[in-house]
Amino acid sequence: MAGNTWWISDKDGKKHPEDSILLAYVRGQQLKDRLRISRHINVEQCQHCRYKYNELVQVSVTLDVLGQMPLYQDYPELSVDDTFTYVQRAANKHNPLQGYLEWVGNRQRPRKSAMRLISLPVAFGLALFLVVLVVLAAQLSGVLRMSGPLQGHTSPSQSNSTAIIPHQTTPTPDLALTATANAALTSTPTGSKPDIKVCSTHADIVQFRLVICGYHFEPGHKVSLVVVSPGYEPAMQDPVMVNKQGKFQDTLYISNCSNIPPYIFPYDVTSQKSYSTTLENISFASCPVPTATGGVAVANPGLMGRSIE
Amino acid sequence: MVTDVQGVERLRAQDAQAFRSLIERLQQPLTGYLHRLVGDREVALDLAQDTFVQVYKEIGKTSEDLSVDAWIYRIATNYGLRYLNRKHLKQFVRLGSRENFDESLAVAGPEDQTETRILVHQALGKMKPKDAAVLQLHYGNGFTYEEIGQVVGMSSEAVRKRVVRGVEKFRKVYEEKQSTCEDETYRKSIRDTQKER
Repeated sequence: MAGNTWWISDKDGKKHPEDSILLAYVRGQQLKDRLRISRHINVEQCQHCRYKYNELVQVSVTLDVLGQMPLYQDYPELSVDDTFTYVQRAANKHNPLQGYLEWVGNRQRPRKSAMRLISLPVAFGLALFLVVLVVLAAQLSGVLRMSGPLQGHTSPSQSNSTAIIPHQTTPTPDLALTATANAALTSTPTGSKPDIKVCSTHADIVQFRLVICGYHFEPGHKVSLVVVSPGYEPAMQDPVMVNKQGKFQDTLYISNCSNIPPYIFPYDVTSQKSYSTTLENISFASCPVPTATGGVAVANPGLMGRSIE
Repeated sequence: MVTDVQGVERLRAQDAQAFRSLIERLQQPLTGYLHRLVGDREVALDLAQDTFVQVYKEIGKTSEDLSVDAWIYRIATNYGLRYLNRKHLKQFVRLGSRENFDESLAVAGPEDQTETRILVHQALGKMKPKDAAVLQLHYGNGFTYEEIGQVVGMSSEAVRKRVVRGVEKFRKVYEEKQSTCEDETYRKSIRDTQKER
């Protein structure tokens, strides 16, 4: 069935069947409003519809040559037995290579292999395109790395740290280049307990990065920073690797003051262990320090990475 | 379309006789359809064989209420479209024309329609493969919109819209082809007249 009939109104408010309905009518397809369409064209003598109807009839007559062709198309080389044998043999082959070789040996007609393979120019073009992509990606990551805080740590990739900010947010003026580095580089803690600190440099702050450094963690383990915001589910950053010195580093992108989380704590993904250390009262640039009670609004949790289950 | 439940059951059990009957019934029309769709006799023969291999392999995994013909035409159409897309990509890279016409199609039908057949196939060759396939199924194989919907995996509503869109595109391309052809015939007749003088 050709489905529901749709009628569209013209400038004068008169309703006409849409072209697809007219064609379905011409082609004798099942229609709910066949009688109404017939009356509209033949009795009401709708000029627009009659014109379109004739046009569709004409093009259908041309296309109807396709319907006559099956009567004349013949493939005498096709035999049921041959096809069935071929099908059985092809379907029962388990080893693809052996199957292919046997098939090549047994086939009666040469297969147009050139049609089945991607031609060399296409392969070359694709390879070239991939190379360009790789070079662009390398350049882009090089730019990011140059402007990012290296500090001699085994740093996770910057792309792992995208949890806090909405993607489309443009930096607000309060985090502009005039921001001061309240959370300057902190020296390595002297104790031996796992600890995390804000270690953003001035360069990080002007690029809206809140860099968190971890110390005295289990070397070789993967650690995730868990960002806690009042009123929302805690969100887990992508895990980063702890280096041989027990250090790791992760970055949160802060697009405006409301994105600064009140709490951050580390979670050892490898040993599935939480640590008692928690980072709070985080100051960043000239932003007010957020509080656990929600003194400063936090980002949309939907943009905060994965939630902890 | 045939939807014989017992036949489907036997096919699903890979009954050799049932499969032979299926090949006997569908081999010619399916190859003809693929031939008209891809415009190459040899390729159509290969694709038809591939279709039956796929049917033989997969029919055991289908449900009992399978519409066999629609399913087989679906497999064949997918093979045909994949071939055409690959061919179009190659021709795009080579910046070549994709209007090659298989001469064997020109003789399939009344002689006085040969020119129309060639133009129709050239016009269909200029269209998107899926649109061309829908027109082939409807005008060439006489499938209803609902049957085409089963073949191409669309609702009959969507098929109705695709058919009309395809017909409109076809009309434009066909008219362009026709006028070019008429111009060439006219120029040829002038050249012939000049030669005679």
